Formats: sequence, C-alpha cells, structure tokens
Amino acid sequence: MIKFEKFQLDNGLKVIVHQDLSTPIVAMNILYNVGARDEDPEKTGFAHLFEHLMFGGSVNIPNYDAPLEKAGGENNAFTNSDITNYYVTIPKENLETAFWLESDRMLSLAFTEKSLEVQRQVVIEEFKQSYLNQPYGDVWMLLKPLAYCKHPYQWNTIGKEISHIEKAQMKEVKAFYQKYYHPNNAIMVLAGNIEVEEAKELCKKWFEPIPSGTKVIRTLPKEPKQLEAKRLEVEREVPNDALYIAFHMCERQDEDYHPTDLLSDVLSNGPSSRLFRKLVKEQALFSELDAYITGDADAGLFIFNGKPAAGVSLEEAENAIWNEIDRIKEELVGEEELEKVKNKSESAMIFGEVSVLNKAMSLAYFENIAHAEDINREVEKYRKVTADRLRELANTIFSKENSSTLIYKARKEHDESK
Amino acid sequence: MNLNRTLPPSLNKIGEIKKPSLQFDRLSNGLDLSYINIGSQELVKLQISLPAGIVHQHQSLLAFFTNKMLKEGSQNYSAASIAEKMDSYGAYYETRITRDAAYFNLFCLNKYLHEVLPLVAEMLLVPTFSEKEFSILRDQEKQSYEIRMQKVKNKAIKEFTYRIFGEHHPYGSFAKVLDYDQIDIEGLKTFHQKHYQLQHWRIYLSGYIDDKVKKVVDQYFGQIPLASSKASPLGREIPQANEKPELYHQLNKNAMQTALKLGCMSIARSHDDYPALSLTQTILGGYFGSRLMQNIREDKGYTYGIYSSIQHLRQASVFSIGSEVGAHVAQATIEEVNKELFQLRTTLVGEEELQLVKNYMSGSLLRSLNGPFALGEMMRMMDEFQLSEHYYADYLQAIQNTSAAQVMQMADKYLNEKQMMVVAIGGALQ
Repeated sequence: MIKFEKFQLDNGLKVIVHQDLSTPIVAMNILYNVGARDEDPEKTGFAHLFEHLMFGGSVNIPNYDAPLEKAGGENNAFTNSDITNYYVTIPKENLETAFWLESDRMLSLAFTEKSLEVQRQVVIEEFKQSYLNQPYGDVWMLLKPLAYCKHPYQWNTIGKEISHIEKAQMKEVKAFYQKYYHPNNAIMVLAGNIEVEEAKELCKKWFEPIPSGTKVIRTLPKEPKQLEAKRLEVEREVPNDALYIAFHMCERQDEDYHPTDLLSDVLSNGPSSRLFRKLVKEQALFSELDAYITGDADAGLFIFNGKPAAGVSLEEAENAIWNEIDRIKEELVGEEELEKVKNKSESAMIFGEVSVLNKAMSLAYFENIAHAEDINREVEKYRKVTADRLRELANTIFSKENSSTLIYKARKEHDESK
Repeated sequence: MNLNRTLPPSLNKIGEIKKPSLQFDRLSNGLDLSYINIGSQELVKLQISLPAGIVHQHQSLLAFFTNKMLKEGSQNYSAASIAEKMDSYGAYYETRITRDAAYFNLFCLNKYLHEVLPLVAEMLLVPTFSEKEFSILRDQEKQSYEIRMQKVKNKAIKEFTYRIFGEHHPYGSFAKVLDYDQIDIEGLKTFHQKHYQLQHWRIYLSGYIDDKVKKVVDQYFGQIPLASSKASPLGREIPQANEKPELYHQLNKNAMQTALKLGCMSIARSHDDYPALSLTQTILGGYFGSRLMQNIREDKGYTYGIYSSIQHLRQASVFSIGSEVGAHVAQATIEEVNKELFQLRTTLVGEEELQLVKNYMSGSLLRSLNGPFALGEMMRMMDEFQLSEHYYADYLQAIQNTSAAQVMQMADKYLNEKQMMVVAIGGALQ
C-alpha cells in the first residue's frame, strides 16, 4: 500500500506527493504525456531526440546538469512509445534546486542550434550502439512494423531510420515543445523525505506561474484486427538462429490486461514457468525462451522469443512453442500454478516499493494511464483472475491469424564468400 | 510576482550520512553473521559469500559452473521442485561469481523465510550435480557466451583486461569457447567439496531483521556442525600485473562503431591517496557532467556515452575509460581523451568545478547507501575489503579537504596518458 496525496495547480499540473521518511533523499519524477506514438510517420524518433534537447539549457538557466550536480543531485530520463519521463534524485536539503531547474524547462527551453546539432549526433550514435551494432539489435525494427500496419507502435522510439533524426529542424523542435511540454500535459510526483505542505509551497512558487498550454487531444489510428498470419525471414551475421512470435493483445486499461499478464507469467515468469521447464530444461530445445507482454497503453503485443539449442531446427522450435500454446488453450491452468503466479506478482510489487524513485515513477505511470490510486488495486486485480478466464484469453489471443512470426537466421560462415 | 529564475536557490549542506549500524551475531555452530536492520517493508536480503571465485579455480569455468549448478537439484529437491518452491513463495535468488568470490543472494518476504531457507541450505551444501542438467546447461551457456562475445564492447573489455594483467593471471584470464568442452561434472564436485562447505560461508542479512529472522537463520544454518576449523581455501597467488602501455587495435569488418577501453593499474580503497584520486577521476569521467562527457558527447557528439571508473578487485585496482564511438571518430576520440588526461595533470582545476564534483560525490554516496538492499551490498563490500566502520565518513571528509593542487598531483601520479593501455575494437583507426 502506497499512501500519497494528490492535488492540481491552477495551470493544470497534477502533483502527487508520497512521503517516505526512511530515506534522506527525494525523488522528483515528471512525466510528459507524449511518446513515439505521437510522432509524424515521416519524422519518427522525434520524442526521444527531444528528450535529449531538454538537457541543452532552458530559458533562464544555460546548463541543466551542473547546478543539479552541485546540489548533490542526479537525473536521467527515458522515452517510450507512450510517455517521456524525467527524474531527479536529490538530497532533501537541496530539493528546491530541482524545482528551480525542472520548472524552468517546463517554462521554456533555450533552443540553440549547437545543442540540436550535437544531440542529433549523440542520438545517431545511440541508434548504432543499441540497434545496429549489436547482434539481434534490429529485431524490434523488424518485428514491430511486421505486427502493426496502422498504429504508430509500428516504429521504435529511436525512430524508423537514421535519416529521420538527421533531418530534424529547429522549427519542428520548437513546435513539438509548444504542443506537448506544458503543465496541463504533465504529472509530477515527489516521493521521499518531504512534507506535503512543503511540496505545495514549492509548487506554488516555481510551477504555478507557468502558463498552461492548449490541451492535447490524441487521435491515433486504431490497429485493425489482424486476419491472417504474417511471416518474415531474415538472415544476419549472428551466432544463433532466433525466433519471435508476436500476437496482438488488449490495451493497458482493458479488464483483460491483468489476466493476460498472468498468462505470460504462467508461460514464462521464473524458473518454474512452463516454457522454461518444458522446452529449455526437459526437452532442451531452446537455449533461451521468453514470453512477455509489452504492457503499452494502447493495444500491445504478447511476444514469444527464443533461440533454439544447438542442433535444433527453427521449424522444430516453432512447433514446440505452438504445442505449449495449444496446451494452455485446451487445459485449465491448475489452482496451485495460478496461485503461484499471483504470489509472485504480489511479491514483485512489494520488492518494487523499496526504492523511492521506483515508487515515484509508478505513481506517475498509473496517474497517466488513469488514476494513481490504481497502484494499490493491482494486487486485487491479479487475485481475481480465474483459470477459466486464462483459457478463454489464450484462445482469443493465440491464433495463427493473430500471429506475426519473425525468423531470424544465422548466416553460415561458408555463405560469406558468395 | 517577482520570481528571479536566473538565480539558483541557495544550497544547503547535505546532511550527515546516517548509516544504520552494522551488527554482528554468531550462530549456534559458531558461524558469524553480519546484519543491518532497516526498512519498513518486511523483506530480507540474504547474501552468502564463498571463497569460490575465479582466483580459486585451477581450470577455466570451474567456479562459474559450480555456482550455476546449485539450482540444478539437491539431495532432497529436484531442479524443478526448487524452482517451483521458490516461485510459489515469490522469492528469487541470484548466483554469480567474480574474480574473487562466489555468491548466492536471496530476496524473500519475511513471512516465507522459514520455507525458503531449507532450500537454500540444500542448494549450497548438497547439490547433486546431475549429469543431464549439466550437459544442457553447458550447451546453453556456450551459446550465450558466443553471443556475448560478438558485442564489440565485451570484446574490448576482454582484450583490455587480458592485456593489463596478462594471459595467465587469474585476473586477466577469460574462458574460451573450447573450455566449455573441457569441463566435466567430477571437477565441479571436487571444487564444490572444497569451497562451499559451511565453515567457509560469510552470511550477510539486510532488511527487516528481527529476532525471528535470526532464529530462522540459526535453525537452518546454525545447527549443522562445522567441519574442523580449516582455514578458508586460498586463491592463487596474484602475480604482478603485466602492465606495459601499448595500443591494441582489432579491425572488425562492418563495424559502425568502435569500442574503446583505455586504462592502467590503480590503487586500493584503503590507500591514503584514494579519496583524492577518486575525486580526480570523477572530474575526468565519473559523472554525467564530467570533462569526458562534456567534450566527447556534449560538444562533439562522437558517442552516446563515455565514462571512467576505478574497479576494485581484492588484490588489484584498475582505472579505465570506456566508450563506443562512431567508427570514423575513434582516432579523434583517443586524441581527445589524451588531451583531457594531459590537461588534468598540468592545469589546476577551477574552484567552481571542484566544489561541484565534491557535492555531487556526497549526494551520490547518499543515494548509494539508500535502502536495505544497497546497504546490504555496502556491508558485504566493506567486510570483504576490510574497511573500518568509519570508512565512508573519512572518505567523504578527505574528499572535501582535497585541493586543486592535489587533484593535479593525483592525475600526474595515477592518470598519466603515457601510461594508458589502449584497446580499440571496430573500424580502422584514421
């Protein structure tokens, strides 16, 4: 149970305060409700590039990092398809420095050509480091456009291609900021060694004067129901073959979300899960095998990915996954097995509450999806899931027509001379 | 209202680090227990450290597989039932080895500790080393090794470490693919027999540690009599490192990026110069605003990140800088790094920058001592390196007292660009 208080400033900024006096620090998490899904299909990678620019100085403060470091603080940020999230941890004595810095960059940025030029380069190197220059690094660049044909989840946060980042212009950058970076499109969470009254005063001083922006109305194309199986085969210079099967699933707010999550846990969470026991250990058909859900806000994916063991063909491997899928479509999951995954998700929640930064991020995440209060209802939602529901869902999700399969073949040495 | 946003709020002194005190206890059989009681949630982290790391092995991969096989079945529990039970209680554990030791770490809710500890005792003390489970595991690990070693970053780390210490040095050796075929189950049994016995355990608990927890620990680990008090098995003697600065470059076809690793031998945490050196290397590359990040990333855009650090092994410490940079700017990056190293040892650092880094380091230490799990790690590390209880307070004080002249001195003594081993894996150096 995470206790917190929630209030809203006149300009629309939502603020959540969670007190935890066991720590000498405060975490400040600011979530902007904008992600890669909000991008123009011809200008992808923008939300993430923008995140980098947020560190290039703001209207009154030329350098973001140095004053924060001087106050003993540290910060970072991430962007995904749904949100852009900035966070600071700072000793409680110097909390106001974080208010000063974060409020100024919510007010306005400095926007220098130099910063844009350098961050374009940095992001291109990040693109190479994480996606292009890694074995299996391009898997998501292949799998997402295979699975999605309409919804913007078809591209990755880093962008479809390097050229989109190279072409980013200053005027687009400014327009993006205007549209998304304002108080009524943001949620701030303060967690740690802080009093609610102190938080209110600081908010009033630093954030309330920031003018609100035009409310963002999100209209994203809905992904149509997939009607036939999709398949893509590629060959790459990697040591092993790999196999990916993606199925469309529900949205985060759908009541099927929790049972779908547990379905992935039965299959693949932990060393006693089905896929691991059966296919990795008993039959030794895979060296690695995972099933998980993407957990996106809009309709996401349920993904299986594995690397066949030496001497096992991709075909055999694929069949083995489908056999396990058929089993969970036919037989009810046993009571004990279900109880086990419920216990596990409960303990994962409790372990997640050890860090104030984690708690701050989770509260912002839940508030953005719907209500921060939901964080305390998660366990109950998992507890309510029945074995019948799991079987029904397995039958809805795991059909060939709903699947996108990526066959990732290792190029054999002797082919290279051709 | 007149809010001057150009003026930063005044800074306050960061509070004293109130480290909850480390406590000691002794189990019924005489085994020592260290613990920290902290936190509001009823969670326990248990760490068991064993003299069973790479320095203790006489064959490649012995320490690694012995440690990995703990979860693959014991006298009374099959691998499947160990997994089943752990998952049912929402407990999880990790096994890992380092150059110096082997570890078993458990995370568990207090209410299930009495169910989970008997399993832990079994896994560590009477594993069965089943031939079947082993051959599966070995093949899987071999595959994942091959994937790991395809990454330029890992190649650079390996090449660097090996060149710093020398091929036959226990701190410099790396497993080769062929080693996976050489290792056999009998070797693991013998290694286990020698290195995992109860009298060699060091136990650390952190989290919500009350009498109940200690009682349960005693019930499962304290009732088994210890074998005659044999001294802990010694690691191999650590020879002198083979340090001779050189430039090693390996061309990787199609590489879009070059992984760089530069560094040299350094000094231990207990060395008098260490706090000042730690400050110096932080200025250079130890935080986001560091000189290397500002120059190579924020000014030139050559990389996504470049960092420096000092890694401490029990009998050696290594300073290194690591980065992955665009292949066409690898040479330029090396030159810039050299310039920064030269600058650091020939020009006084400004007061503003010096103060910033001192404050950053105080905050950073505060963060790293935050929460029961982080504190548990810290407790274990301090024990392993035999640091006194005042170590961190003294360390911070020494950092605060370091002058710009000392920083320059430290850089000249320990971070001289002419002493650096340089490894570059990727595109051609221009």
